[in-house]
Amino acid sequence: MNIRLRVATMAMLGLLSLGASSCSDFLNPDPSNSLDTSQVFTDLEGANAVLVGAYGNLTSSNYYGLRYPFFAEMAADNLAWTGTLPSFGEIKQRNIQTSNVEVTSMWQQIYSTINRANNVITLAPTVASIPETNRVQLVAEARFIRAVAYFDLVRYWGDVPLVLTPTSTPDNSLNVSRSPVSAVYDQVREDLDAAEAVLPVANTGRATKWAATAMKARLALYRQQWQTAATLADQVIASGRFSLLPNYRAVFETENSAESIWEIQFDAQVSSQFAFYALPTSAGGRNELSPTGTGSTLPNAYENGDQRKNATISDGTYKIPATGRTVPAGQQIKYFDPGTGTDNYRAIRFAEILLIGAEAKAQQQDLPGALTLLNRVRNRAGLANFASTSQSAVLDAIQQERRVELALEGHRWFDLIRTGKAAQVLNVPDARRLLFPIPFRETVNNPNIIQNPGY
Amino acid sequence: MTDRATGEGIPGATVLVKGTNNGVSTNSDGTFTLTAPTTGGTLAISSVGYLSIEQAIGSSDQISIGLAADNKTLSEIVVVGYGQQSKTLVTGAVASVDAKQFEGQPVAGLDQVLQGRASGVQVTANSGTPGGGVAVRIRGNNSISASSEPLYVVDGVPINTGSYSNIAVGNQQLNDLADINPNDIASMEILKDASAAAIYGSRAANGVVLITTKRGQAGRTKITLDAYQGVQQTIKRLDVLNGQESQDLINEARTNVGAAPRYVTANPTSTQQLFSTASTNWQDEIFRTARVGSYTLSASGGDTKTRFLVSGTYFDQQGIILGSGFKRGSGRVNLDHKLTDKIRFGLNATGSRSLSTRINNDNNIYGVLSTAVLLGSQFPVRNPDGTYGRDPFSSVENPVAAATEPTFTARNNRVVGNVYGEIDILKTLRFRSSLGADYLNLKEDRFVPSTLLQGVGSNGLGNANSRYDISWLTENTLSYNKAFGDHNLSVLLGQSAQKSVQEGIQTTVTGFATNKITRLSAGAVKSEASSDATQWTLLSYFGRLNYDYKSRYLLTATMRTDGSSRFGVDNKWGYFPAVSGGWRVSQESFFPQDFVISELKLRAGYGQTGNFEIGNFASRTLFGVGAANLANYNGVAGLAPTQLGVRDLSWEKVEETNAGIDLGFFQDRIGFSANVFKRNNNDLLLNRPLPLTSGYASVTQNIGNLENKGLEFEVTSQNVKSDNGLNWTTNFNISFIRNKVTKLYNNAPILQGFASRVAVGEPLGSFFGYRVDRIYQSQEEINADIANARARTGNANAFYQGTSTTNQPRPGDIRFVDVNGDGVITSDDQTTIGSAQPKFFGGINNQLSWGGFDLAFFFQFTYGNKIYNNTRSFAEGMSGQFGQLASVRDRWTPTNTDTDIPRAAAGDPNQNNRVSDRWLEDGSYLRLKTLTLGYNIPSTWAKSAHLQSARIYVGGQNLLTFTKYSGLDPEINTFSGSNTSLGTDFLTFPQARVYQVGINLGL
Repeated sequence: MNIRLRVATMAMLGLLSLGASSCSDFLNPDPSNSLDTSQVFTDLEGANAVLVGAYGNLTSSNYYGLRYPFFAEMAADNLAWTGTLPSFGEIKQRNIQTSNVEVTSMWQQIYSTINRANNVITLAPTVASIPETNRVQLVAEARFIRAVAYFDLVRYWGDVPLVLTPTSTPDNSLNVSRSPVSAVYDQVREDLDAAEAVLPVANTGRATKWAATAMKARLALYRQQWQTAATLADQVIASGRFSLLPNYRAVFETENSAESIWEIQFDAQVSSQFAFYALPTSAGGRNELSPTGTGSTLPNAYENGDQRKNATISDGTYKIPATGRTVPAGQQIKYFDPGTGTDNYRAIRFAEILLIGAEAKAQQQDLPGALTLLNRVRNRAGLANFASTSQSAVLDAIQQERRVELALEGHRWFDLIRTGKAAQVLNVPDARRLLFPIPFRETVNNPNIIQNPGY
Repeated sequence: MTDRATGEGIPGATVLVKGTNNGVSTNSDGTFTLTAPTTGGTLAISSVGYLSIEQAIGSSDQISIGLAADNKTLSEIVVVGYGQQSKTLVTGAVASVDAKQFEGQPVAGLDQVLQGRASGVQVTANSGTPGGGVAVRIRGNNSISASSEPLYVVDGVPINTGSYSNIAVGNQQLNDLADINPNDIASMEILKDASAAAIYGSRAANGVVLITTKRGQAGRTKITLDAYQGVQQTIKRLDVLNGQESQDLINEARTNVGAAPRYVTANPTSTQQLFSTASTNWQDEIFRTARVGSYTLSASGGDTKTRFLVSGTYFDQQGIILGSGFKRGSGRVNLDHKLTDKIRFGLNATGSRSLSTRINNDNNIYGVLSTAVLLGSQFPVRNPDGTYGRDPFSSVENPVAAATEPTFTARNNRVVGNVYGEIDILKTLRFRSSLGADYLNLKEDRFVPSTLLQGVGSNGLGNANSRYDISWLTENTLSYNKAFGDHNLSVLLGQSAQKSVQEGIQTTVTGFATNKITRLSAGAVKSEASSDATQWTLLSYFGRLNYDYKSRYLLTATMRTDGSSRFGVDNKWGYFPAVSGGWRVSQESFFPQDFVISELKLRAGYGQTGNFEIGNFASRTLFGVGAANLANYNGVAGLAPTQLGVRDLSWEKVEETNAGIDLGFFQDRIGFSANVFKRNNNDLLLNRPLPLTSGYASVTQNIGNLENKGLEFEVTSQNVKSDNGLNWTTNFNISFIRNKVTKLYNNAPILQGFASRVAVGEPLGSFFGYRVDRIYQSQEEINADIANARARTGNANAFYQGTSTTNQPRPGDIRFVDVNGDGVITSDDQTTIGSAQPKFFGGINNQLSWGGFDLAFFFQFTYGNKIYNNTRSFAEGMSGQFGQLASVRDRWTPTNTDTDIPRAAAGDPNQNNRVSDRWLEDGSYLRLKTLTLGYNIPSTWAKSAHLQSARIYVGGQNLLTFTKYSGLDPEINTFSGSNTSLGTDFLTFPQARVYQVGINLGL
């Protein structure tokens, strides 16, 4: 419509509306950048799009884009806080205020992800025009995402509210109380079982059958269901779809390699923040976190000859490929694109499965089986076989191996807590501080929420 | 035509043969020539500032007329919504700011015209950013989640305000009010109470500011030139540590927590450096003496049929911080034409083009002032190799680089105006129709070169954004005025429709080929390219009835109904009634004549208004798109639930009762006005926090109440009045406003900003945090607290403060108050520690003239408000690599124990820097806001230069400030425009002290 016509329309409307009442079109314009909820779950396209949105939430810097994995390193002893954000400092010192913005943001992002998944799980089946095969896969992918999200919640916060339906009205039904860890884990297991049964074996960056199996193995490990964990790890290993890359460094320079079971995808538009936060300013980062500094012992955790040290921490010669800038010695280089944030996050990779299998077997006294798997990981890093007949020595070796193999991938804090070593290794006398606080605003806005003790 | 008192000629007076079109304006010397009928007839003479008179023509060829100055301030005409009214008959709370109060003074923006001039109106510049935002609060903060800014109406066109910027630079935003040229303003009326403002219905809850621009007068064409130039300087700079002290402090802080020193004399490790001999005062590097200038040329005049005004202004202001500035060129045309006696039409239009040169600011590690405070003085501006000096152990940018390297401009093109037509259908009945528009187009360009930390990782970063907003408005009114004997009646009926459409394009590109080409075509990676659009509509019907009996008993009633696209399908329409009355006791026959009291009017009113300043589609449950909503993944676009809506979302409803008294003493030489009001805001448009487990952070609902009540006093006094000698008038106003939140959802408090909290029973702007008890002097004190904590809690591992042995307090750390007395410090020990609301605020304006000299000075004050100085929590924190204020020289050490500044401790294990009353300061101030001394060159001299008038003046702004506040400026808020996070300073651009010289020439 040209401007003149528009003026005329407006003028006429203004004059005529004195007497006319048909102004409902004038007062009910539709949004241009958003869709009303009634127009979303109407066809396959809409349901697919919401599922993509559920994956999209995983990329948030409050979730897999930075905070979730990196806080598990920083709250433990793999990353020092070297920056300016006091809210990071509270986590590093494990002296977290309940109103800590980082903790609140993570909690919010994970539950937002759950709501997105719940939308697909509940509403996609209501769309009659979606073919059966599509519907099944939509729901299975969403259940996988939901399972991962609840697993992640339990690991930081313990008992959490279990919400399984999409939010549609702001009423008191939103005041959900916390469910015990075991109940949440049962739901995670149920979702993963359902997803595993129907998901495809391959689908880059998205939920697959093997990602579900691997996640089940991790869950069994956390629940100390050793036999289940060993069986599931063996299934993944036996699938033959995954292998260790010959060179450890290549794992981080190759996207979606044969070692990757589930990898969160980042690009220039949907970017991760690992490198930006954990590189110094001269390399394009903001110097907030570093493996070198007060509260990190990672640089000293490597055995002599471990190729993973120089693949994880710069020796002062590493140059960022995109800009040619040198990363000073002592800084991490697993993530190396601070400018556009294209570094993917390896959510589950084959080396972890080998170590899950090793730990589960060792717990069941199958020390040879455990050592076989452990040494596959060690050998790839250029280290000699580890040998021992002591169960506790093997278990310790596996934990040490997890620390250096999976450094900066979001495992350390959880591993220390899971194995009961956090209080001692990190010098936390009050075990209640091994759970993060429920966000202050949550305890204020939901009368049914009870704060974790000690906060 | 002469002034009866002085005998001087009155130029520009209108002389009309009564009952005809036959008329002229007087010449500059007051003479006029008019061809009149040979016999009979009467001349009607009027001139602004004089009492109008009528005089029989008689038969003489010459006629001399003396006009008496109109000193009765109460007999002025004031503009009210959709019309005007004699001030005598006004029954609502309306404040009027006439151009006379600021004419001849060098004002830069609208905010300076409003500030301190009317009671109940609190104007706070959020910062000293050129062209930056101001917060105008009429009778307090009126909302929590919706806007609290008043509605601005320029010559009948409600204008867009706020910021359209899409680039985050920190907290200080652009301000679209900066497009309004203060030199164009003839008067401003502030409709303060609901009975006066209700005619603007759903947009009136925060009050209404009616701006009337200057118009031409029939008579000789007047050409004026108003120009000034000035220099701006910092009012104050913060005293900081020198390079050596800075390094010693960092070493001490690290040693205190068992870490290796940062600075050594030899063999540094990878986390150490050699001591630096540099000592840079970064504030001296980025603050500058800056120019400001304004040049206005205008021509106005006309005849009895056509009147016109054209004017143009160029305004150019550098910021006192390197890299910042604002320029505006604007023009105005106002035309009025009388087609016949009964038909008139006209045009008001202004166009402007402004250029803001912006800098990163406030809460931003790349901000210019932020880095100047937070980068230690141990670094040089440039290293010997020419690169910028930076701290390798921090992310703080070099301040000089931050100011000079980026390109960051915002160009705004704006047109605001309307055309109108009026027809007198009957002598008593007038129809008026107008079509108005407000169009703005903002183009933003930014380039961050790879020489900056912000651009290092991406090899340069650029944005190019464009946004336009066009708002159309049609209005039709019918007005009826008739006197029935002593009964005067006027009725207004009207209708309006408004539609505002906004569209934007945003792009971000990284990976530039070179820093020499700053346009996005030189970049490789397109990280954002998107467009968006939104709109709102408003359809309204309104009416007003004014009645008075002998100007003695006054009654006004108004009603408006608004329908808006912004509200839920179940609640589209709102109704806003108001009624007010007045009794002019002094008009009664029993009231003594020639009494000390010359005017006594009692007023009372009640009205309902609304607030619709929320998102355009806030009532809908929506799914959003795009990377900003995290809807995309792995190159595939998706949809994400972004907003939960409720169908019955409605207006925020305001009910206000106002009572007032207007008094005139000594033939109205002294005017006194008082108002008392109570305003209840019900069904607040509250972004009610939801449990985050719902997947949503909040929902906009009509929940919660708050109230404002207050007392306002104004005194206008002609202290000294003489015909030829000294004249001195004083305007004084003071307001006492009390704000209180009375209801929230489940009465659950809401945390805001750094230290602010919204809670029932407390005012908006309350600060919430820990209270400092004292500094621990010995380990015994700490141990005693721990023992007590363990005894009280029964937990053998409990601590008083901190959670583990690694974060236990040490001597020199702060002991916080155990507010709830449970033996341990937890989040429950946070409490209300102060409020940003002043106990009272106001202004005092003096204007003196003597002979050819005039002097005006204006003080502004606010008392009893607190400022949360978050700058100090970083710059006195002594916990990391940040530059520190000189005050930390008095920090606790084993040998300096008598202090309230704790020990230095890297990483701040005791959280000495947590939100507490340690950072809360008294924000009261008294400021000499403006001072102008002018001299009118005698007309005989001026005439020899062919000038009608000539005046020169010197002026200043912010010349004196009396405050205890330790920061750069007490008149700031880093959360610009916030209703809830008030009075917070965080590395905020301070106001400048300005010295100006100027001229006013009349041709």
